[in-house]
Amino acid sequence: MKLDAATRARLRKARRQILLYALLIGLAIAVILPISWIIASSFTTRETVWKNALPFSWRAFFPEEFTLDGYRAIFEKDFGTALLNTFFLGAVTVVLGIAVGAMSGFAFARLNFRWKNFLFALVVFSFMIPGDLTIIPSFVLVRDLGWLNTWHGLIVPGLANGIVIFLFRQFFAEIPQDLIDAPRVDGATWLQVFIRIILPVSKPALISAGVILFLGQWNNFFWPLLVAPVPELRVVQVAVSIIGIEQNVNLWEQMFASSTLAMLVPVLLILPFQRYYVGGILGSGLKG
Amino acid sequence: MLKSVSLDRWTPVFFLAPAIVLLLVFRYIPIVLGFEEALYTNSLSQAGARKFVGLSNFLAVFEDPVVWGSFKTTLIFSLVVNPLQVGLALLLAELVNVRVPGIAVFRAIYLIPIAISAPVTAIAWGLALDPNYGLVNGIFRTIGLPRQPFLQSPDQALWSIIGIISWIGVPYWSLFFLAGLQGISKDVLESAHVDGASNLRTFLSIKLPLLRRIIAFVLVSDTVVNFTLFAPVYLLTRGGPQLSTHLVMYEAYRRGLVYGDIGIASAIISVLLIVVIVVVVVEFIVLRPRH
Amino acid sequence: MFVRKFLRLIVLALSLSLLLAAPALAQDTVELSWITDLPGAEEVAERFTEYNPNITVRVDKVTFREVFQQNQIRLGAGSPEPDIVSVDAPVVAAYGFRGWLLPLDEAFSDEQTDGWIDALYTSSMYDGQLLAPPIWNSAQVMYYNADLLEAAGITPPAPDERWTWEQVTEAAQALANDADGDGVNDVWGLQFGQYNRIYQLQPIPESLPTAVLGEDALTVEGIIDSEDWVKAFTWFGDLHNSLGVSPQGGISSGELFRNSQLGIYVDGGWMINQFINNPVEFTWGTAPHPYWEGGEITVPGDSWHLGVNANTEHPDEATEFVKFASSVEAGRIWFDVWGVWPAHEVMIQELIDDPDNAEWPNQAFVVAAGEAPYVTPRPLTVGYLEYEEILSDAFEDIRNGADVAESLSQAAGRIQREMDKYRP
Repeated sequence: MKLDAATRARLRKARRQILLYALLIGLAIAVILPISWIIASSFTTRETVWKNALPFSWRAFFPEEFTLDGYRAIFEKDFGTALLNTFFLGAVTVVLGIAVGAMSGFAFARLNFRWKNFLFALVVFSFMIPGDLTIIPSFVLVRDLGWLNTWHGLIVPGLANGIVIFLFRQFFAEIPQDLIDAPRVDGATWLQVFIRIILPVSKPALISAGVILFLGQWNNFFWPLLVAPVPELRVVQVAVSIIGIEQNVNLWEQMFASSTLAMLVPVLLILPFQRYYVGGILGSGLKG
Repeated sequence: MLKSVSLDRWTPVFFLAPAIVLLLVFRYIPIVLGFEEALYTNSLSQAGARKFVGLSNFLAVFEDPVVWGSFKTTLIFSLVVNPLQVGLALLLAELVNVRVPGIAVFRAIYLIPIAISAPVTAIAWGLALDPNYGLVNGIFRTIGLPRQPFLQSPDQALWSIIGIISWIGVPYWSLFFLAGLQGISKDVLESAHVDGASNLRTFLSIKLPLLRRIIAFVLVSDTVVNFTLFAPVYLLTRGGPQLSTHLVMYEAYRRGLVYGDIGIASAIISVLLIVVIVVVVVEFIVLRPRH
Repeated sequence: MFVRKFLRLIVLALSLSLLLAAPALAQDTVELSWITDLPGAEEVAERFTEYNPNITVRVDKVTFREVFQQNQIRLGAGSPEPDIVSVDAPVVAAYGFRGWLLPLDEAFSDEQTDGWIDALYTSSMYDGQLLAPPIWNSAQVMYYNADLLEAAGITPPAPDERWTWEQVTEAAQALANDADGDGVNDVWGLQFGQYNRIYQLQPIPESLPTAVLGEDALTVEGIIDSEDWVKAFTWFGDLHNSLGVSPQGGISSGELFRNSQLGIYVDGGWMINQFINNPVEFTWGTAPHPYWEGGEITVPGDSWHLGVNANTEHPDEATEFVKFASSVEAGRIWFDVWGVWPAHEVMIQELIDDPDNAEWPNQAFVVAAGEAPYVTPRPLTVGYLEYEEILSDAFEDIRNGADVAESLSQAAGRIQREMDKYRP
């Protein structure tokens, strides 16, 4: 029997759809598998955590004996303090980092002044040099400022972020000139224009910048360990690294519980903002 | 332009000062200090005193086959990983840039690795790739493939590291490409369709050129990130087997923080910095938009 | 409105960070800082403050590897913190060479230093000065799973029966099996606790016997690439490759042992408490550390020492703390918290004499205590950090099947290049 053209086209389309979904699902599994093993392991006991993982079987994705012991134990060990510390650090960094970045992004996008190109090159160049490369001299600098074991030692060095400034500049550059001219004619200062006109229409850029700054603090490990090793200022990633090592054995359930929280918090935080995040980059003038 | 839009001279200073001062103090001063540190030695002098040694730390960088080898490994690694990640990220962006039911869920899932820190990633993948007990070898066995040593083999370790970092890198960079693809106007694409261009043709001759600036941005950023890759090597392979994953940052870490020779470590980092700048400039020139 | 809220947030954040950043209240007590990964550190610090109410010790907990890194960065940059420096025994020389530690000879009486096990006293010294007193010792023993041994038809060793490596190899081959035929052993024969560190593997060449370092303490070429070393590590490589009795990869040997997937396992005496406090589902036992037939008995030993930062602002208080932390009283706290090995002769004797330790499983402590005379410290050289790290690369490669002679000769070349820098 011969199929007519329309049916064949429909079949071809269906085949393509199935292929597309197979690919999407395959990739999703590759992403989720390693993570779900960590999450499952956080709900089981130390004794059974490796039972189905050596060698690895599908049973490892389901806790052998469901328990919250790991979570209970890490909160007894002040993991809560580390979570709060990092939230606080993240929040302050987001707010101040956005203030610093948006202001300079605005100047680069809308104001004219001498050395503009040179100063902007300084910004672009700064994010071409990863902070890891200069971590030891940075430590010496912060120590000489007397900022070891302080909140500002953790916050201030990361406030001016080249990518964030760049992102704001690109976003602000696309705001229509009329929006700015009208209030200027009415005698508004530049600061008023910036606060009343520019910021309110820049939600996607603000959110993108916020996510970048927050993730930077949340996933930071070596810098906080270096400048603020005191227990009162301990951050999440440092807490995760030491929580499993008590008494020369690996407290697996606690390691997995702390890892789970350390990764779920930023995931939950990003997902609702996903749409804006893409929008923020989209609006950043990077498009062709 | 209207007169009222003109500036008094303090307005730009007010807007710029915080960022520029912070950048100078916390980004640029440490770079200068790092270059300066490379001219001293502190490891070989008694009583913790520093001694000026001129360029001898730099000479040592070029004479030591291990340091030299780490630069070579890093260059090869970069040549593979950057195009690979950019290419895969483009494909992933194109894949999820469709309107089908449930696509938002998939996009959200692919975002997850971005939020996961390097140590957690390393724990998960270290076990998944274990030669005896790993999940990946378990899957291989199920589908009839032979067991692989992965991180235990000098031929496979670097590839395994590339795979692990791409697990994070590809979704991250594809976000930028997705933003770009969604910004391409529908008219352009539809007219191509009417002309009977295939999907592949449309992608290559219309979308890619329009994405040029984003590709340049992503390639440069990715290059910088990968030139200074450290965590997976530190956590999973210690530079081995047989120095096959001995990247420059790991060697610098060894020199500075394990052997305690900050001078040599600073010299290695200074050279790396220069290499990164050269490569980035070349990439910018090659991908410069043509008008 | 969005922007208002945002501005208010900025003000709030600024004031909060200023508030929290306010320096700690002026204090008439001294706070000492100490970077360490040691369990029990808090307990020792608290007891010290009970005796010295005007001195508190702030314990900055980090992981094992980070203790070294954090010290390197801080001491290398001349920082006054940490006041108290955790020094791994073989690193005393390296830190001493760099002038990072305060000499403590005057603070310690002969009576105090005579109480330490001799080998530990030696590793506390650099250039004739006492720099870092020992707070513990360590002793390695051989743990075995008696059920697996018996199933393989092997009689487990008696608590005082020291097997040779030849015997261990034979047992390991009998133990290793892949009953389900998936290509991965269900039971492995033998593994070391720290399978890529010289600390654990030193007895393999040393027991032959052969040297692990040149007499000038700066030569490794001709030593670690000697025929004896090649012989020792060919055996080690074979275990992981041709014999297939030891697992490759990074899976913790303790975990495999606990899972009944490993028959014989060489690790520190600190594991005894683990097996007593978190019982395993099989009969376990300990025996003295193995040696080569006809060779010498040597057992990995030494452990953490404490020093005083040469740049500290509180040298007297820090010295006081180091004196306490290395005392017998602190030794008892360390032991009670997690059964870590004491540095004092009297405590070793107490363990052996304790009637509670006459019965299994506490008898295991006596087995470990009996190793004290055989404890050999790690090589004492200013280049130990380089020596250890580069050797670990070689050990990993050998585990993964690389050519033994080539791996060792490459390592010798790399280490020698670093060592030569220390020559006057």
